[in-house]
Amino acid sequence: MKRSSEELLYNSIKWFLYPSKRDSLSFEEYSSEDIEETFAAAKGHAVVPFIFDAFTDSPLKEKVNEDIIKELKGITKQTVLQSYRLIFLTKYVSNILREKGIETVVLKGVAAANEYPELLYRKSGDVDLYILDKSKIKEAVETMKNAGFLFFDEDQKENHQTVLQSRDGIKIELHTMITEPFSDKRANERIALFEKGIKECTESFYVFGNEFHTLQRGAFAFTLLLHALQHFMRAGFGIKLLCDMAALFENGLNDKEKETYLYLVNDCRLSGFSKVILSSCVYFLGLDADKVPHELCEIEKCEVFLEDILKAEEFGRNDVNRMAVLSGNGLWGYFKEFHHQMKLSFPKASKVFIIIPILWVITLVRFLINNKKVRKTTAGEIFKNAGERSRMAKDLEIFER
Amino acid sequence: MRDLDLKKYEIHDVAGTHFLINVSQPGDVFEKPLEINEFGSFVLKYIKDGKSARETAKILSEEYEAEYEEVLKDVNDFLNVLNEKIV
Repeated sequence: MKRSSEELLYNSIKWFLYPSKRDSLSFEEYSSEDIEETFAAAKGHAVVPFIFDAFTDSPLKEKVNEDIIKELKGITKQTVLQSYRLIFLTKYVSNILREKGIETVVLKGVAAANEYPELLYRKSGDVDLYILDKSKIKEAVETMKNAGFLFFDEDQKENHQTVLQSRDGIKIELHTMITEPFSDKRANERIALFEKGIKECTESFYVFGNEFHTLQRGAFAFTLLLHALQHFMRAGFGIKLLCDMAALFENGLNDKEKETYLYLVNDCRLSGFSKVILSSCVYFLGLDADKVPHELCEIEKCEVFLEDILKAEEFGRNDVNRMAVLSGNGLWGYFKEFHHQMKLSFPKASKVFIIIPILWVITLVRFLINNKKVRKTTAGEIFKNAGERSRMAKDLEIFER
Repeated sequence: MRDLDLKKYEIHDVAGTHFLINVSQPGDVFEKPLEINEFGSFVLKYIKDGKSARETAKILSEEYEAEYEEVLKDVNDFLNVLNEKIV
């Protein structure tokens, strides 16, 4: 992507995110080629509605051709309709669970969307609810089945979520963990501790007069950061997750919420990751630096990070060679990641020490088959890419020792 | 014609489109928002404010400098169609 197209993408997003700062944005210097490239990037990152206002209601609109406008309107309208659907489905599921005494909080979805100037513009495909009392997950699944939802899948990765499906095909993920486990044992322990106290940090918000529950803003910001990290450790994530952080922090966290966020981030040794994310929001997405609760990192680091984000597109789907970022160096790093993947795939069986070699073999065979048939790439390319992204993570000091 | 109960409905102007959405729907079965045109959105804003069809037609005929009878007919036609769709 050309530099000027990247800038246009950021400026168009800023136009949407901060209506009060529109006077400071200029669109004069961009060509029709920039516009086409920006539109293509917005499609790849699932943020087309975020550029809608700039493309249709700014000085740029004179330069946007009719085909793009037509497609832009179609995609944005689809997103708006889907958002309506998900808002009321979230309300319905939360309510039927609450009637059975099962309290939930919304992760991402409508809670993240509510931070934007237009909440209907944030694209989402499913409903994510976190069950506050994990012991009630079976009852929650039964309640939903009785209400006509279909059992879709239980994530084998440490069973951290159960997926059901509505009659019209929308997935509802019931989470019993805030994020899937990382390879860092200490971080997992600290996150588990956070989950234990999560009931104490919920709050309500309203959308079109309907009440929803989510986490208090400091804790919520932390879960968005974990979500970004989870995707970063795998194939990567696109600019939408960065926009989520920018929108949330632009609306502001009070002192107590900032304190909570910083405590959780530092406790899980994620301040390096938080700095790269929020500094990128400041340098490229126009987030007010005063609203960031810690110091910023160098812009050069953020440029490297943004390059990874722009390449990844939504959840890294643009690059078949992406698999993971390694948390260690050299062969040991590869082995650790491989072992971690095996544990995620076989959470129960991997506790039986004697069969671990067999599980390694199964994991390896699955990995090779998936590369060939699904990703249509080679193991060598994936290892190379994992090595490169891991070096980048190390250079950016994303993970603290 | 049954009286339109518009208390549950909101008009949202999003992405250059006017959506009429039932914001009180429970969510089990999705009641899709209705797309309405600009004239319809003006009519509904006045009706939701408690104006009658006649009062709405009077305001709009003055605003658009159009014949009152013609506007009243359009207002009633619109409300009839809406009544069929959302009742």
